[in-house]
Amino acid sequence: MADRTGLSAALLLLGDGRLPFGGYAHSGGLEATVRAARVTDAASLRSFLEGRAATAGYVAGCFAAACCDAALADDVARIRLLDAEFDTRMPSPSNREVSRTLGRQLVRALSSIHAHALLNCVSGAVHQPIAYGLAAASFGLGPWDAAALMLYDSVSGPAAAALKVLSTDPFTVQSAVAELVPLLDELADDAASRRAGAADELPALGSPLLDITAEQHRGLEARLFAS
Amino acid sequence: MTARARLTTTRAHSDDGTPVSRVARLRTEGPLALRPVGARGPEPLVRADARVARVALASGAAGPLGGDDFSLEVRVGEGSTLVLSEVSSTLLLPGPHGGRSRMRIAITVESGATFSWRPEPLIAVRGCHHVHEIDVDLAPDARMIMRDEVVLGRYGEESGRLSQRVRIRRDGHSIYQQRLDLGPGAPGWRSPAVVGGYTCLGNVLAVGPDESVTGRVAQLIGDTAALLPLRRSGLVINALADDTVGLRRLLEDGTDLLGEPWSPPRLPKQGLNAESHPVMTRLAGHPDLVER
Repeated sequence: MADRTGLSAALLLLGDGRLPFGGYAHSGGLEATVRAARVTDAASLRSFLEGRAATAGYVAGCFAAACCDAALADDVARIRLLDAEFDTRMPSPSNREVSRTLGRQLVRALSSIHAHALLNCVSGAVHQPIAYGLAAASFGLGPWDAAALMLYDSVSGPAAAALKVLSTDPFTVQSAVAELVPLLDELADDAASRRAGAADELPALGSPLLDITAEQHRGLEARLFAS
Repeated sequence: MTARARLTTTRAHSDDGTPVSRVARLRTEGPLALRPVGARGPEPLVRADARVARVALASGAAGPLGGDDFSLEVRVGEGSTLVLSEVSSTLLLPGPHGGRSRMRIAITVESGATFSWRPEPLIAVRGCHHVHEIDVDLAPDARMIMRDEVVLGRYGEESGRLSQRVRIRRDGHSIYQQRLDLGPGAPGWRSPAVVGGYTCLGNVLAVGPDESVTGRVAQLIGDTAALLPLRRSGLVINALADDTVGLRRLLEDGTDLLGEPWSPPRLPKQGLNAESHPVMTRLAGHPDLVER
């Protein structure tokens, strides 16, 4: 809690689904999971979102917090190290590619909205949590904010996609997200507390089904989402 | 109970000058019993070669139980080859006074060395709380294949808690790190994003300088398994299944994609298979046998 920098409009801006960085094109593995009939209703959707937040979302949140912390200290070498270390947490090549695409798009979108030297301190496409870390730092936000943004993104993307791939309504979907708020905050607290940890000691929780469905998604016919 | 076991292999030369791998150090303690063994069943990477070192880990007691702290240190010395197997699966059990059990395994595979590791499944018995940590350090030209299988509870039983971490470094750089936190109390573990309703999961990790494990593309193996190339080098085959037989089959099918020597020549499958068995193939075409 002490790591929280207090509510800023910048946090709302970065967490707004209308920020044009292309997140709307991705379902975070939900589309392929629905096709495999592993998510069929509100309860399984909630469980999907919880598992995604507690594993892939949490790991990404930890890297976003650590990157924000490094960016605020101008430690570009550490940001590069975090970006490379994040690769080792993602066995699925499709997931790695999507993460770099979303990272590149977030940096590009923010560069035209709110140009800041920190956004481009690392050359080449960075992973999505690294981009969130840089974005948060460029607005003067802290590691907790970066982690919270990343964690929220890890569920808000699939939640929005649920409206298209599952026959459900926005109230049911947002209710599932709302139920996860205490977990998201708790995970962000934990992620922020690890911001200065050695890169290879940062959490590495895996999600075996997400890794497999990411590769299945590529082969889906008539898919609605890019991932 | 605390137990530490150590195993080191080195390359030596036999009387006729051919290189052989020898067990140079073998320290067994408490329930962690290491024993030199002979070739047993199909082996990846070594093809029943008699000149490699083979050791089996046998648990001399039930467990690990809550409160136990075990460690195993393995060094596969320069140019040597070690096949490490396990006599039986490991039942992770709750301790008499609760508490966690812990197993730490540290493996170093030196330059030109080969490590083939086929442990039997870890079974998370109801009420257990086990932390399993595997660290592997590989030289740039070392080769390794390791299998890893987890069963979430005995038949029809609720799973215990298992936190398992596997970390692989090659040439001093991390190439793979995954932790699974499964069982009661782990947030979201039964999620359709994590392990869903499956009771068995596992993987095969293959790392080495060979073309057959570098420069691959992702491949699906059925609906619940995939071969996934890692970013820097090596690959992982991930699988989930409803039982251990199904899991083993998926992992073997995935390993077969690597070709020899990574995939061992397999023994003929037991039971009659109408597609491959000569008698059955002949009978299958017989008009009297339709629908029988």
